[in-house]
Amino acid sequence: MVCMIHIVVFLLAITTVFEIFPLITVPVTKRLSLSSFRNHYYGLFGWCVRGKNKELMCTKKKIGYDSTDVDSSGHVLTLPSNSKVVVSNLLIVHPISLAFTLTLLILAVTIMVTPLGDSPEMLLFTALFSLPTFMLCLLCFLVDILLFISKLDWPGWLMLAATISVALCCSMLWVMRRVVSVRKYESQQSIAHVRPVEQYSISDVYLSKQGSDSSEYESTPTDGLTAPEITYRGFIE
Amino acid sequence: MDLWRHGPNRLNTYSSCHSMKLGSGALIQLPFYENSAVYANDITFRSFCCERVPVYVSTVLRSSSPYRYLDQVIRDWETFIQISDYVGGSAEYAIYAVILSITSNFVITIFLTVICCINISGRAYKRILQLLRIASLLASLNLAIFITKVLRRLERDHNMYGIVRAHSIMHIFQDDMSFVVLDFLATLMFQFCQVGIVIRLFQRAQEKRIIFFIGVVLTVTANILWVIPPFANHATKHKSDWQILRPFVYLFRIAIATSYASIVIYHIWQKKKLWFKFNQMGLLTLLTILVVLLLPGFFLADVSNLWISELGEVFNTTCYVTSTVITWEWLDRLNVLERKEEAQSILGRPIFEEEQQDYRFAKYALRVQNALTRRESRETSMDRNDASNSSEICDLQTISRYDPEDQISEVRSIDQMHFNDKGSYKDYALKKLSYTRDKILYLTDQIVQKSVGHNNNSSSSKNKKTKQRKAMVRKRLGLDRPGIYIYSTKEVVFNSDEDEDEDEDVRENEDEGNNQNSNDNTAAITTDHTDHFQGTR
Repeated sequence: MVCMIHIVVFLLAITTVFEIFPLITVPVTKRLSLSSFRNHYYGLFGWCVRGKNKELMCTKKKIGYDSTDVDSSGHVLTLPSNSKVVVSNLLIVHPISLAFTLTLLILAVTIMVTPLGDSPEMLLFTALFSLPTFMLCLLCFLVDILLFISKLDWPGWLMLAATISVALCCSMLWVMRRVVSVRKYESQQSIAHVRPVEQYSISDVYLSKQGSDSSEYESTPTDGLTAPEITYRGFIE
Repeated sequence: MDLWRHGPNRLNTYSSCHSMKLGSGALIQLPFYENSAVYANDITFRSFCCERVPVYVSTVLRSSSPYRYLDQVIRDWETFIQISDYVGGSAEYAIYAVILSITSNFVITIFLTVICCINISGRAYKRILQLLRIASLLASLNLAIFITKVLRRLERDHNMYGIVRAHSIMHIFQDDMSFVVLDFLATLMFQFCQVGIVIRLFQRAQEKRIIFFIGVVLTVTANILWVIPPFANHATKHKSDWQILRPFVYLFRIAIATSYASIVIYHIWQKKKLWFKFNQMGLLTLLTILVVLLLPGFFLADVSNLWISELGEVFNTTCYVTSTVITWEWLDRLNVLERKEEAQSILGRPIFEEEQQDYRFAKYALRVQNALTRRESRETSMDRNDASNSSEICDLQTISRYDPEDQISEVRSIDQMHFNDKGSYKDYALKKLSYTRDKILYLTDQIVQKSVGHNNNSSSSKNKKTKQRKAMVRKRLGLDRPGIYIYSTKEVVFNSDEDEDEDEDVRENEDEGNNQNSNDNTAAITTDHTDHFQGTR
């Protein structure tokens, strides 16, 4: 259990790093790009073109590309996948996915370092939160594939690794929820075993409530509501 | 798909698609006057074109014929068929390949629909199976209508103009509202069926509930967003506003399909011991893996500009049919194997800790006890005839709503009077919230159980009244919730018990005589006397 949450935190930390790389692509930095195609370099917040003097000329930083942007040679922007430029607005899922992954990481760290890790409700919430995180991460990769197809650079392919990593974390969180649930049940059982085990049957309880008038119960079988033969274990004093 | 993707490379311009000047001096035969011709000057000619590209002219002009196409028309056609990514052009996009792919999809869909209607029988999952059948029939009907329209359009083009246009087929995908609506409905149903399949994969009640909620929310969201762009295109003139939505929903659907594929493949991997324990199970498992990966695979093929890129809608329907029906069949066979193993084992089906938590057995027993007490007290105070009807309803309410931990219901004992006992607003709100939550969970359980849960009702009685009575009794005892099983028990008779049995038989006969005279409620309860039940949730 302890080992599993450590693995989850480790994987989520790696995933967060993986998801930061697309955010620092051109034009934020000059070295990284999501895709490169015919001397064009595509990033999350814009795109750049390498001029004749080997210098990068970039657009303004904003989400999504503008179809009116033209490079130095006067060519209109085209995407490697032949998609329309307006589709590049879908790159917005990258920062959203990063926010979700960061939140999931914080939740996982909280589970690791606080007693909340023993709470099935907290684990259920974290496991539920991991589902949209996985979906967003997958969407990021699909958007990259849709826009840049096989022309993706390594920061783009990192999203595939991030998706697999989040999927693993998601599965482990659900497994942890089961483990904590079993552990809670076992702890309850161990408390019950310390105390003397008392067993009650419905008819006994019924008879004790009716007092000495047990003949009335026996004499009304036609009502049909004969108490089922169930015994149970509990703390009824 | 062209809502969000540029058309193929259109750098090539075909002069045969524009007016070509042929010069003067041609004699043109008049169509309705024999032996008469017109001498024409400044002749311009434009060949058959569609969307500024040449179309396939199906008129065969042999070399022996005195007539021939214009050289420019032949040259343009030769250029056009060299382009690898355009419908109607190169070999993989030729009209024959397009018709072959459409008809093969139709045949696969029909085949799977027949299998779904005839071969698959799941009494335990009746509702979802009905939905699957309706969806398959709808998909088959849709494809049948689509193929009919395609063939009629091709026939009309051929008869009227002597050409074959593959583009006209592509337009049906987006312009024909009946195709769009039927395709949408079929896909929606298939997605609900996929939610049902995922629910079947998990055994814990809480996980089933979570999958149901998340699956339904995802499916409804995806389909509402999916349906907006086609209708918006018909309703408004601002097509550009919806350009971003269509690819997003497309990717959202692919993400859902990928998640579905991941869950099914993970489950297949978990059950790897059962792959080869049954005839054809290994092959069926392999086929299941392939079909659940079809949708993500076609997405990759689509964005890679392979030859299916324009025919995505037809493949989409077939992918949903195959990934649902074949996975269902695989699950059915797996269930048979698992039931066999469970029957051979001592413990039977696995019982999970959540079924034992919160003292559900005890709570259940207290519910029954509480109902008994209330009924008893009511019967003493009210007229017996009136009570026989009203107690039925009251018992249902008390059993279903009574919570032993509920302080208010505990304090309000039946022998106490309470006046102006208003709790705080916080208590009231909490009570209302918990009541709403319980109601939602109950409804969810009902849907999950009736659609994809195990069918506990082993009765084959066709009497409607008896069924209603049994259903009422089941509801009263809490047996209508998922995870509660009734096991009929076999009594082991020893020789020494024979005498006692005879005495009991006599007593039972007397009881039966009494029961026939008693009210409906009693008769319903006595039917359950013969069964012992193990209550688990």
